[in-house]
Amino acid sequence: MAERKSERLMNLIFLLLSTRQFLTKEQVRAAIDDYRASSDDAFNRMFERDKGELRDLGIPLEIGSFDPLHEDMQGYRIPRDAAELPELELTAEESAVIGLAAQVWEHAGLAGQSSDALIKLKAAGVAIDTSAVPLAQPRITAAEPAFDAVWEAARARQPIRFPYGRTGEEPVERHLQPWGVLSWRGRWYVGGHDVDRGEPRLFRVSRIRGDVRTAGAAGAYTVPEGTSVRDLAASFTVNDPVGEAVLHVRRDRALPLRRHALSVTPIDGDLDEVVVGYRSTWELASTAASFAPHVVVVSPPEARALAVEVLQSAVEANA
Amino acid sequence: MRPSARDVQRRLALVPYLQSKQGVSVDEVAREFGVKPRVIRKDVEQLMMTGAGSLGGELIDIDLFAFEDDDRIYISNADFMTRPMRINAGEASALIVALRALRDATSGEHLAVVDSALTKLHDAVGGQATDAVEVVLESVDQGILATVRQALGDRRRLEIVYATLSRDAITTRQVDPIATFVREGHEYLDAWCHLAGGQRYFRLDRIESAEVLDVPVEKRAVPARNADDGFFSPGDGGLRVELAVAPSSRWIVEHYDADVLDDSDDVWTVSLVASDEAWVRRLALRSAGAVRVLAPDSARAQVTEHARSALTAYDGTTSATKET
Repeated sequence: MAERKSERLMNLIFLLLSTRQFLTKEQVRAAIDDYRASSDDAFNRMFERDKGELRDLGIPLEIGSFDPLHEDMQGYRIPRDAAELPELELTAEESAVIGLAAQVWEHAGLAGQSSDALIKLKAAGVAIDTSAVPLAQPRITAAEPAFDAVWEAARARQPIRFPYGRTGEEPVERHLQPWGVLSWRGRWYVGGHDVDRGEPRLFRVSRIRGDVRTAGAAGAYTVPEGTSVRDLAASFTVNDPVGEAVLHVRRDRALPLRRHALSVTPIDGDLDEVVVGYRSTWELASTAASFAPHVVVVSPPEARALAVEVLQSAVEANA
Repeated sequence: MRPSARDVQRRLALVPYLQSKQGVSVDEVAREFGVKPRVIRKDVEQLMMTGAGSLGGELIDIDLFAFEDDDRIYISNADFMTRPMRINAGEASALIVALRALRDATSGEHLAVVDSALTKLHDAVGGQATDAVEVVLESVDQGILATVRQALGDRRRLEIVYATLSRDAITTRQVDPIATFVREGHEYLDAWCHLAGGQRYFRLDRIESAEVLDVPVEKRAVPARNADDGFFSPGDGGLRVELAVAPSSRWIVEHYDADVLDDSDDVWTVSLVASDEAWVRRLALRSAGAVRVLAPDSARAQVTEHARSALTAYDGTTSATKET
């Protein structure tokens, strides 16, 4: 958009903000140089596009009758009370926190949007001194190529389709009504109603292997009451333990196992008996093997046998 | 949002801002808005061409003498816009998600501040849908977090018991805390480590216990590093390794962002940066033969050595081996 277009848009916004009455399309045209200088057709196209720009900027446009006696005569104005930022009384600490939040995104689009919001607060007279509160500085990155598209679709409640699959697999086209996106353990997921399978599902954004296309209109579905992507993620990731395993673990070793131990009992000066809950025999056996030689599975017997197999295979593969 | 739309946004915000700060310098505005002074000068020049109408008396008025001679801005004839525009849905989502991430990384007294900021911001954006995005960080022991924060705030030394995951070893070290930050879902402490004699990152969820010592941090010219600068890059103690990966372990490629060197066969050759040899050894041990370490040779030797030693323990007794 050239300087000229930006000037025209600002004049349009100022004109519609400064009027209390609805202005007819012709009145708007008469007040703006570019509109006045254009043919009827060109003006109509330009005006439609500019109204779209206002919508994108989030500025509400009110359409109504400027004359109660002639209700068919439609006019435009920007309602100041709905368009303007309401008063926010922020303490120095609260504004510092918001200032820090604006530094969280390491993603061009969202970092830009956070700082645009911050500028509006500054324009409302909010002084921002981020040193007022010492807080950790989280950073959110989003380098996945499909991130922007799923973020926008989730916000707009717009159905999407995309090729999906792990590295090394042939991607399959999937259809989703996205409910939300989630960053969990540093990875982005998009969750929602999987149209192909007819049930809720999470998709890893990095496994979207091509363009995300829309598959319906914005606002085409509603998110079921009381659902959140966080709950959805939890339902996929938390499995209850299937049983308890007894391990012999060398003192001060296998710390991640010990952290979740149900009990730790010293056997001798160098060895502990550690009881842990486990979710699958395979997970238990391979975790125990990864701490070789400091962990031995005592029971259950099938996990003990599998751990031995895992270790033998590792020897064969690396001999 | 297109760059030009951002120009419009900034210029719209300038109108109320300048009215509330009559006589402000161009440099100060540039600092506040995070742009170069010449951008602000251009903005002001354009504002002079706009107004409630296109007639002379309707345009925004800028004191040209003050602007051109002193780089100061006095604005008038702009009372049709004394407040900035509302924070729109996109901006609100970006900022509220960021605040929630900040909240997840916060504890103690500051939690109330983040909460009240969130509430006020929610009210100001008029309840626009922002529930579409969630950021969940790893959970960190709140007691340890509070201790680390206290040491940072009081500029005192910390004694931590730290578990190095890859080496599976516990160390007790004294550190001078510099800052905390969150990266890839994990919270870290950046500190000067007296044991290592250098600046180190410590993952908070691997700090087993922490205690604030009655020792002030040493004054040292170590700036809080920007985590973007070669964080976890080779050369920072990282080790480049080469692996032969069978189909059942291909998740490694995605999970550790490995480079695929050869995928012409079922077994792929990949290369990745590991923290050290112990990490690679553990990966190969747990993979049930689906991972062969190609390089370095010493790491491959460790895999067989550790596995054989464990197998002896399974053979002979029911107890784990003792280190010899």
